[in-house]
Amino acid sequence: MDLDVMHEATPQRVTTAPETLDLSRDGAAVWASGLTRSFVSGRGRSAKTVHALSGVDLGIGRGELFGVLGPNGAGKTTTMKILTTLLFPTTGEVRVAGFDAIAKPRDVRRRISLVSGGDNAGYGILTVRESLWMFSQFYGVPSKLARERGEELLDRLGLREKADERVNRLSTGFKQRLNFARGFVSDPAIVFLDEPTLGLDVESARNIRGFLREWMAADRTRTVVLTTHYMAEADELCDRIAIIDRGKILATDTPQGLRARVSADRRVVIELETGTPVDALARVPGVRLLRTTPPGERGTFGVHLAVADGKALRGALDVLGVEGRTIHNLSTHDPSLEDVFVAIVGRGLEEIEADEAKRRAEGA
Amino acid sequence: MNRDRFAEDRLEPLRTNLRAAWARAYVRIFAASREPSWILFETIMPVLGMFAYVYVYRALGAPREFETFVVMGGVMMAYWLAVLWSMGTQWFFEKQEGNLEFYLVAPCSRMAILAGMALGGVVMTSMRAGLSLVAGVLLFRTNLMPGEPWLALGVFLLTLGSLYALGMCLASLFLMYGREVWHVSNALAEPMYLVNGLYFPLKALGPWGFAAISTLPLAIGLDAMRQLVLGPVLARGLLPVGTEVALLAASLPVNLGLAVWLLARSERIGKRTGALILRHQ
Amino acid sequence: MALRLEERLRPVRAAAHLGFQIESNWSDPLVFLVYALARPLATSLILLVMFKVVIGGATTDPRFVALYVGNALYTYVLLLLVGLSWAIFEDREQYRMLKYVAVAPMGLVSYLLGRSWAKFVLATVSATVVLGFGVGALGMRFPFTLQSVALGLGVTLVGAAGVAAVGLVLAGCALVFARQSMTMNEATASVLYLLCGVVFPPDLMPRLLHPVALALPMTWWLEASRRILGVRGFSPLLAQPGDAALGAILLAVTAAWVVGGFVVFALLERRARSNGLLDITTAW
Repeated sequence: MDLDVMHEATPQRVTTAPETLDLSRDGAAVWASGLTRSFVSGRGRSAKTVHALSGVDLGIGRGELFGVLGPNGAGKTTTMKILTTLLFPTTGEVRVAGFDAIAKPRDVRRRISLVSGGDNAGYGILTVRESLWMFSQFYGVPSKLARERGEELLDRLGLREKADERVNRLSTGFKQRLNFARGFVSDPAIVFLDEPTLGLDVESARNIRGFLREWMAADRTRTVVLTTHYMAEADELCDRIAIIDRGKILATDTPQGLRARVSADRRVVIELETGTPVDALARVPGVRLLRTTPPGERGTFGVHLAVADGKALRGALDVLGVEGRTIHNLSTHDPSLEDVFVAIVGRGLEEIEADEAKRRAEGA
Repeated sequence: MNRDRFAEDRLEPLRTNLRAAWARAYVRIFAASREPSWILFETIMPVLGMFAYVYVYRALGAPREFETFVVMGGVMMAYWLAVLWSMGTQWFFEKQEGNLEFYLVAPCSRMAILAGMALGGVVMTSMRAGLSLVAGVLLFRTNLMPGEPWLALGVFLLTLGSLYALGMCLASLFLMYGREVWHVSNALAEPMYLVNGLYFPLKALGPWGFAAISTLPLAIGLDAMRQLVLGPVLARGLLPVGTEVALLAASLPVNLGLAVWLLARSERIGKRTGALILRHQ
Repeated sequence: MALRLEERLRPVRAAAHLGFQIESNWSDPLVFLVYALARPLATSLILLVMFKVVIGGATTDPRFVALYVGNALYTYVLLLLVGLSWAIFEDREQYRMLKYVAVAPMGLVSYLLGRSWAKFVLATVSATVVLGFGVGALGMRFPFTLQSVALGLGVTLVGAAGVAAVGLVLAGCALVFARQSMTMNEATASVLYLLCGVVFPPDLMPRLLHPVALALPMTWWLEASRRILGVRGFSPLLAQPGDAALGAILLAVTAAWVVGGFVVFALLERRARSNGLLDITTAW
């Protein structure tokens, strides 16, 4: 069986080669060493310390689109707050755009902007056009230039028809686009995007990703730091990705590099009837049982296998055939970022978030 | 980094701050015209509330100059409330609404934003103050013409300047403590009316009056302006006008300096504790 | 299907619990106590200074006692009435929760009334402390018999209902107005301070305003409270009805406002829903 016929194509992307990046303390766009951050919640005896970051080292080169990938509570937003001068680290050093973010925050702020996901688009009473102009003024952009940039952003992000509408009358999607647009009106050297496509519809999210690629292509010194827990987004956009969990960066590499670390094996997903035993599959030579997904509405569940070659796949299918099992679906692909995540973190995002929800429910 | 694009001349910080102040004021000034209900709620109705104290004095059979105390106190109360709610607590509301983060990441100074809020609010506040004056003159026939109008104007402007600087100090507290300070400010509204002598001559507070007049720009300015309108005897002035003007003039740079220091300090503390990024305290 | 009483009360209890949490969780108990008492005590002291500087008489002077009592009870207006509409502003613009409450079966009215319980308790504590200050520090004397206490509690409950009814109307207005719903609260409290005979007899106002004063439940509630506390003759206008007649007027006016309050709120809520105002932000 020829796995190559069945494999899904990986999207092509022009990336910045890591070997050409200057990741030194003074040359990097963002450089951080030994970052830790603890928070104390509660008062007196009931006070608890939460360690949000436990020693984060980062080096992001100029011109990179760098992703920070991790589940909720991993430390992504805390890292962003430190890099954007909103928060001091408990320990560690951080330099952004060549300046010490703690000692020279203003020099940093002149060169960056921050967009947090959500629909916080400013003042509801202003129109979209006025909002963009207002935000630009806080960066000292001359009004004429601000208006020109604003018009470009309105066109590029599909806000033209809403330009003269008050912000409090916009739908959530348009507010989020405006929130996104305001991060670019000052033409920063580095843009920090904290979950920018959170809750966006497919078209808007696609639009934003397209904008990001164009924006970076127009000036190769522009840098974007993006946090997300959407694997596909990180895979599609990012030159390099840092995987973060429980306040630590576990791996940093290009998406291809991360996949290569995990395994050369092809991934196969077989959809079987709920209750089908799968232990026998793991005994087939060249086949590793990775995980199973919970049963779905159709009365089936997914079995994820790592398969060395076509012969191993045939062996797995023969086992199922001998046992008379019905295969509802079968697909193969290269190791995905999710596979990488599971391999590095030890569990999938869904599993992490289910555990978190269970912990919260038990705590309540 | 591409330093050419971000190279700045010596005037660039000033230009950025002026642009930021204007942009923030723009929201207040032009938003006001889009929601005209503020004319009723922030101008007409509060002035009606001031009338209650005029009637209290009438019920007690007080001499006419006491009604002048109330009207002038009402005028200055408008500015005090603007300082408290449109400046002091504004960071709290910005944080609750999710805009504070944006301001803190922008390179403009915090004082520029606060100045913009103050400038934007002064239009509405002055309408309320003006209406209080007009109501006082037309409805209660109070005499509000100062003997030395230019001096009175100067005292008024000095008082405003110092008051707004005090507002910036308050804003810095809100940056750090959020909701707790909001509640405390709410609770201190009336005590501030008491210690500033908004409705009565400060002399009635005895030694507390001296304490107030040595520290609070509103108390100093109001006492001085009352003396300029009514004369020192009827106004029951606490200190000579000249002394009070000197105190006001000294308090302005002190309050401004304190504001600069407090804003920087509170931001540092907020970044250390994480209070700046905590949205709902 | 009709809900059982328990099912109807559960969300109101939850809203009450929320109200208590919001009122009290931002500080330690001492600061909270200062917050609760500073404002009414300060206003009382302002009136004391005003009285002393003009009359110079004793604090047991009936004229001062009358305005002191009015001011002490006015805290219900400041906390309960203002609190009801403030909850609309807070939940819509800051916590962004209003839309979720609006689509829940309990409805906004139940939510607001439940949430305002904390304000009622706070106002009661505050009024009691201020009156206690009057007795302990200023030498005032109030009758403290079983009858006066029982009557006082009853009148307070009726008065609070009246205040809440006016507050409901204000909350409805808060739904349809912009960010001014924040200043609208304080502004309305100021106007009521003028109109309800809180610190001066409403007789002193222009005749045109007398019917307005008499139409407000707070005016009758304050007069009834003064009589129970032994203060009579504050206002010739309000002194006209006898005690029983005063009670009947208070009940009738309060009942009218309660019915009217629910109706007006329902109408304004419908307007807010049809104009999509339940989840907008109007900050500037």
